[in-house]
Amino acid sequence: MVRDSKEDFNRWIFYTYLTLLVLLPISDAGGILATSIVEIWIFTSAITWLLLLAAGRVKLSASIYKSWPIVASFIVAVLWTHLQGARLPQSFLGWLSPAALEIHDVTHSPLTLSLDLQATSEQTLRSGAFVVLFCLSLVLLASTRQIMSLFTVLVASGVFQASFGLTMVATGLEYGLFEPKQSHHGVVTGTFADPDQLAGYLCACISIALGLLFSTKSTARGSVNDYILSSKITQPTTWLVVALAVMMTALVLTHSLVANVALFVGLAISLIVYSIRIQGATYRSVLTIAIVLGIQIIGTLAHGEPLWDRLVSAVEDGTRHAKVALSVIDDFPLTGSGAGSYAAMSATYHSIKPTSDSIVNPVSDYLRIMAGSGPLILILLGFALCQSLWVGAKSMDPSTHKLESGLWLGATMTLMITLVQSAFGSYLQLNAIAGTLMIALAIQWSLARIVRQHQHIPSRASPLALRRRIPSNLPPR
Amino acid sequence: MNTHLRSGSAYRLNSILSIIGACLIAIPLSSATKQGLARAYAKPSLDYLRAETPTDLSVEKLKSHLENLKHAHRLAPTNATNSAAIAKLHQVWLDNFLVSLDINELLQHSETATFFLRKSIELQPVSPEYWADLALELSRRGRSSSAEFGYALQNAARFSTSRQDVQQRVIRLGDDAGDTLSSNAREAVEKLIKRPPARQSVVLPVGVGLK
Repeated sequence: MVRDSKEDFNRWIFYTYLTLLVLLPISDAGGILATSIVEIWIFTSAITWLLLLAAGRVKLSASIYKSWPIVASFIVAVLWTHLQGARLPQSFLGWLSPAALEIHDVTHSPLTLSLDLQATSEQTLRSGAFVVLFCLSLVLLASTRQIMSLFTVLVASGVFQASFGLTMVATGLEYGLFEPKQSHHGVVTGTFADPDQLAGYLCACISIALGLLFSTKSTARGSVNDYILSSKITQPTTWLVVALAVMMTALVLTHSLVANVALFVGLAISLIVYSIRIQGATYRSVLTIAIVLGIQIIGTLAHGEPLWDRLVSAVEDGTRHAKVALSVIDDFPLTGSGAGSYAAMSATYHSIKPTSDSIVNPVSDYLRIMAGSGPLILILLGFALCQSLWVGAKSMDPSTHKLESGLWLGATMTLMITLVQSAFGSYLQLNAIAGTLMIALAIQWSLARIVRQHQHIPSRASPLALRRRIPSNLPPR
Repeated sequence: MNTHLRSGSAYRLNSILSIIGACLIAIPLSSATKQGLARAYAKPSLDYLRAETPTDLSVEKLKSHLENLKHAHRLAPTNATNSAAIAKLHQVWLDNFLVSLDINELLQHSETATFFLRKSIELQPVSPEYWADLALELSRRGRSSSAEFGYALQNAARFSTSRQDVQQRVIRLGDDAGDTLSSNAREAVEKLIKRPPARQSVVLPVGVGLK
């Protein structure tokens, strides 16, 4: 039997892409050098794929055509970030950003919108890499089987992080990736430097695992009970439940308030939308929310400090940092002070340090983006998010196959949780979370196309054509 | 026949567009590779400078670190950290091997340090540390009365809101300069002395003062 060379090329590129997903959380521990490796990995994969496309070895997915407004808005965002580092005429700069011109006048530095050219050039490359990752996801995630593989790898990566962190705490070894931990002893951090970072990543992996769980079992009430009673160790769902248990335990032991709140809120919103779009899923949704909430309450009770005190302290800390961010925004309202320049700029505005010993900056990602890149980028990102969520939700209806609806739920929960987290901290600075966000956005478009394809088959095709076009990877309803 | 021609030309157009796309992505790929290599070159030297007491302090060691950092600077000229590190290494050289240097070497080290500090400031004009380093270098060269020294001190004071270590350095440099200090710079230093870090408000009027 002759093997299809197109399939081979697709498979290899896809494996490279999956490997990248495992590398993303590790790169956050490896510092700025590891970020370069991730960028090189993404750009090289994209170039290879494009050259294979030119040679006719791979096919272009229709999702990329449909999502052109999102791709265009991302490209505009990257170009704007690049423009912030370009020299501008004095009058033009004075019109766009009088505060930047005034600082350049004082410091005799080149007339650019950005006040930290190094950070802006690094941010431009990083943003470009994530836009390419989004496009790569659109073209590589062309079937439910590929999305399932992606989800499996993400869950495996989350389980690895959780078990690594739990083992390090339980055995007292207290290692980070390759070196002993400098701080946060006794708290689960995985390969990350900070428990909040791990918690943010675990939330995304947990939502993906829940999506997989929803896609594998029926939504009928009886089936859940049947499943619990008749579960066998060989069933993939059993492994998923074990993976969820490991990740939830690690999440609770990170003591991350923001992540726990984000997980609950994101989960609740997504499951409500899911229950509205997919009839008959209400019982399962309520059960899931109740289980997650129960685990979180137990975790909160196990943490010595009262929840109210922690909430008050977090809100006070966040408010003080938000005031600083608002001062920066007030001085640079139109263009920001340069993408990635917030760390340098905020240091000139305040003399406060976070009360918690967290490395995740308690400044909201939205404020940080607004202060650094200006309102244009926030509007473009908001548009991309809303449009993708809308396209994904619109494609779901009661007739949607449970596999597809479950995958959609996983991707939507990831997006929701990241959005909630970003309101309380700078989580998008992490490659793992920014990368997962871009992938979850791309999945919305891919699933919408897959669902549309399946729904249109009966009305447009003959029974013979129908038999030919039904994908073999879908299990029976 | 027509269909065949159309599909053939569509395929060619697709191929051309893909190759153009690949060429466009090659631009950030080359930048990312250069930045990555620059970081790899600079990492040991930056770690060496970050250590509180640099171990194995010798001329050979300093030379090899300088060589690495210059490689890094050539690969990523917009990296302010590397430029500042080159300047810092020259300053370490001057601090530790001053007696073994002749006047030309001394001037050369000092000028190179000043050049790279100016470069860092161009890239990160709001960094108080670079301004304070520049002021220190200028004062070492006996240029405490120059306008550039005054500017450097003034800007170090202006941007050092959350950096008590830099504020202390600014006050010390201002004291050393004495009467030769320009009136604006003296005013900035006096402001720092009158409002020590412990009594600073959360938001200093840096941004407000700009308007």
